[in-house]
Amino acid sequence: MDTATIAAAGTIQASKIYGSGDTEVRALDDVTVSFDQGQFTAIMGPSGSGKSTLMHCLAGLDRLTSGHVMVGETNISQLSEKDLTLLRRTKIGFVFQAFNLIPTLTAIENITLPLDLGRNSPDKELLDEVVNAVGLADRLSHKPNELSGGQQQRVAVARALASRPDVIFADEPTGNLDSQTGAEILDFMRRAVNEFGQTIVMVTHDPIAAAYADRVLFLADGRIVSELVDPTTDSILESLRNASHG
Amino acid sequence: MLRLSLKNLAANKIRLALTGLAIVLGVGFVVSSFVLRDGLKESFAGLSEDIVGNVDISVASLLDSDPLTEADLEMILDTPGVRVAVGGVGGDGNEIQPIKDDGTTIATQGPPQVAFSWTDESQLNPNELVDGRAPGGPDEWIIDIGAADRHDFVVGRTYDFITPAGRASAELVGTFRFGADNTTNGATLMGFDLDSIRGYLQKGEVYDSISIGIDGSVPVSELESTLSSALGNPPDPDPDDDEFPDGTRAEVQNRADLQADVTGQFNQALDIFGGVLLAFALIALFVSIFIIANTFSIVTGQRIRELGLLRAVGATPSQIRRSVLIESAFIGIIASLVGIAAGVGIAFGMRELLGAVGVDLPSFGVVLKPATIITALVVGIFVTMLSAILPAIKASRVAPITAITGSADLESNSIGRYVIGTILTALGVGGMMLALFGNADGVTQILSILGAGAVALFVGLTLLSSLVAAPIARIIGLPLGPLFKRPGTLATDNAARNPRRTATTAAALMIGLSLVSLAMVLGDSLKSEFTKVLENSVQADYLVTSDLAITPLEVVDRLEADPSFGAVTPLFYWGADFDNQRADAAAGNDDLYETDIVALDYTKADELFNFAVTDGDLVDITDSTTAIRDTVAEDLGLGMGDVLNLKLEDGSIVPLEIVAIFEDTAISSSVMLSVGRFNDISDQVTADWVAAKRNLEVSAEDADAAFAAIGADYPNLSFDSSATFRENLASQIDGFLNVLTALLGLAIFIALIGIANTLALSVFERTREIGLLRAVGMTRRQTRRMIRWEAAIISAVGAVLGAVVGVILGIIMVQAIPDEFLSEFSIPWIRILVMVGIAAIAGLFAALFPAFRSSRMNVLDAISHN
Repeated sequence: MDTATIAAAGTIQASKIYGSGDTEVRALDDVTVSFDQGQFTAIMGPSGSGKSTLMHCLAGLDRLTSGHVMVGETNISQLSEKDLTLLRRTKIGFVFQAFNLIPTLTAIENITLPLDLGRNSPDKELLDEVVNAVGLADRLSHKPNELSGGQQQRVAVARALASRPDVIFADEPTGNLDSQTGAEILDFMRRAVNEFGQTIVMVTHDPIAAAYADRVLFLADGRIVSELVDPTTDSILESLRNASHG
Repeated sequence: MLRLSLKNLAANKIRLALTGLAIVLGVGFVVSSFVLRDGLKESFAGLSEDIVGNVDISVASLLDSDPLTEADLEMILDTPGVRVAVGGVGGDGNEIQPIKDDGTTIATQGPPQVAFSWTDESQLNPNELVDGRAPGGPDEWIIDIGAADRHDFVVGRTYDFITPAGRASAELVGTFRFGADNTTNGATLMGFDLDSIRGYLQKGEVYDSISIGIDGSVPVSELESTLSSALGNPPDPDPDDDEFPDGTRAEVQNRADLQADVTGQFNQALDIFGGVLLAFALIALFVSIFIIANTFSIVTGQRIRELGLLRAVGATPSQIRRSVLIESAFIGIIASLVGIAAGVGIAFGMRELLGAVGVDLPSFGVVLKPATIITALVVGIFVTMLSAILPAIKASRVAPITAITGSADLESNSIGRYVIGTILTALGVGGMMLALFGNADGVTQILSILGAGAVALFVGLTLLSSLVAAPIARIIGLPLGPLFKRPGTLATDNAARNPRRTATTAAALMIGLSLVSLAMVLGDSLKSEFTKVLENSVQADYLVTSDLAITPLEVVDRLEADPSFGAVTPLFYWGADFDNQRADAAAGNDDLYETDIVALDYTKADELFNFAVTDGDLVDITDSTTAIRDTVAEDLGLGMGDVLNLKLEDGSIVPLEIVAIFEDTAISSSVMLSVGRFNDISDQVTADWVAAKRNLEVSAEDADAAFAAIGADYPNLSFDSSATFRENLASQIDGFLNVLTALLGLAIFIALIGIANTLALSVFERTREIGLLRAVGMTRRQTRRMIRWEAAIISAVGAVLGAVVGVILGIIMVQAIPDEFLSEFSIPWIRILVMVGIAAIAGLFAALFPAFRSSRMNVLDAISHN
């Protein structure tokens, strides 16, 4: 691991156990991982590998059975419900697979939602920058149901960016989109990392999507089984094949 | 499909509970009105038996001009078959009021104070001496043990009384028990010796009634008819009805008739009371229909994917429809059963509620008649299934493809909705007007048309209100943005996003509050009407009034004797029949002209009142002359100098020459008679009220003090300046409005439950959205606030609509009521605004539970919720 860079988020000996006794399932099994600032990480793995659980715990949406989650300088395992909520509002951005936007709010209101919840007036320059980057300047006053699926996801990414969080978690952000629209979203996320130095962690099962990342982590049975740096679609497919054979 | 319906119910207990609650309360209120009525009837039936006691035959005086006398009593005693007979005198209630140790009298709004002449003849006295002795001489009295205890009357002490004859005092010489266990239902029973009570009630050597015990030698029915003819009664062609031929001196009844009569009088009053309660219960039930229909509608929307799947696997539309209806029938049955149980509890709660607003009811037992249970079940199941019809039809129209797409437009806002809404609203207003001001016959018909009109009106308004619900919600929500930032605007958006849901939810509240604000407008208009009329027509400085219009004439004497006062007059009101042909009467209509009359000292009229006399002079009214109102002149085609034929009680006619004509002034009745003529037709020995003018040579302060000093001797009367009297009148109207509002509170309470219900379902529907908000940083507190304020806005929408509808109905009604009854129009804006504010705050509280649930959602589960 590159010690010169600073970690934006990570886990230390993270375990998550569902059920007990015979029905016990170890969704996460002693995972220690770190996500560097300004890095775009993809997490891959088969269903039930624990990739979603890892992300949910990192994002403060779920709690570990044991171990620690760090976001920036904060050990979120010890936070109260309220502090955790405030942390999500200010330090963490989200992009879900679907249903990312509040239907009663316009595009721009959705983008500034976390800031509005904190009663902070958004940094105008930063907001303009994000809005320009998202390329929806003429559709900002539209409601989500007046936007296409791709446009909705771009608004969702813009919302995640607007508060300049320590880290953005994206859960299959292109899962519901056609490949071309998906590519646009991934491009946009890539640019956010390059241009704003944003840290992004993305869960995906799509090798093409994962190829946009700087680094790919492979999970199986709740453990990190391998890792690729500067991946390509081919190298990812290769690793997946190895994993399934190994 | 039946199994599916049942499984659905079992699987959705919260939904069942939410839907059921509105029905439980609606049915509960209906049941409580029956339980209350029947329970009171039972307790009064026992009272009737105790009152009649062992009297075999009762003779009750009917003719004030030819009362029962000592000679009648002797005649009865000499009649074969009569063992014993006792003549008695008693009041109707509250004429004789003892003054308690604290200087006050017993409140007259509650159970009455009944005075009667005590008899030592035990068969004819339903009371039994407990302590001390019977009243044996003048100015002695005896009281029932319950009242002595309640009001701290102590045997051996002398108490003051206010009687029709004025102040009196008498020594309390004993206590007695009424019936077996002194079940007086709160009444105060007082026994006096015969001469004392005759003096107090200003009766001569007469009897109100004679109670008879028989020796059994003559059959009761034969004795009855013997006595009736011996008393000089003309033969009664139809002895079974309550009508007596002219000149009937006394009513002769045996024990069973007497009991039935007394019970019938109580029951009549209780039926009216129960009917009023039932009317308000039906309003509450009507409101709950909106809640139930709304719940079914929302739930159907939420089950749409499931319904689509059922259709896809082969369920026919009619099967779907039936399954929703069966589900509703089961909810109806369960909720009605719970409602019956709740109704019993509510009945007792209602007694407390009415007690809190000044209507005291005696205690009663639980009487749950089979008819009550059947009515409750029928009403509950009918109402629930009625509410489910539209949602059931909607559900049956879900297309199979919905199973896959998961969306269907069930909320189509067709033009038809607004057309029907407009028609119903117009029909409703028309129907209500027809009922109130048309030529409907009888109370039942008026109430039926009024009820149908109100139902049409409110259904119509609900259909229309979805047009305005969203804009109103946005306007009401305007301050929430600056106040609470994003959670505030989200609350507003959520309240406005589904106008039909908001409209239907708010409609329930609209109905209750429109009735409240209608009453407020009418009440306020009445207040200003009274104030204006009193200001215009009463120039007197001081007024003496009593709750029951029983003001002893002693008060007039004392005011006249006091140099602080100038003109003083008592006013007497009564009703009378006149044997004059109506001007527009069809040939053969020989009904008597029946109207209200007033009598006073006309020499003082100019100083004390402005009677708006248009012709002649009131001073000319003597025992052979009269003054009539312009409307009477018109009805009878009479003018100055013509003759009005006053019919006396014994059937004789007294011609009265018309010497003055006046216009309506509220304190004047339709016909003015001399006090002498008034006494011919009425046995009233007290004034309805008394008016007095200050002697201008005495300072206002001194006159006020003198007035108050006299007033101190009559704690049961109100001694007020004209201005205070007007204020008191206004507060009496307010008191009445409070009772009305309390009863409408039932409907408002159900409406608030409806808001809680809708919010709970909306929160469930928006699980993912709330999850998302929580994920991006909305705190639990902000979430709760968002839900609560959404409820407050919906509540306020209902309140605003209700206020607007109520005020408009008020305007229409005040316009439609003839000016002689109500010409003033006044809207109590501040009270109405306060009501809207309270409704909004109540909405905040209604949403406490849904808000709590929304904030406790697991964020992760919520986001992945389908």
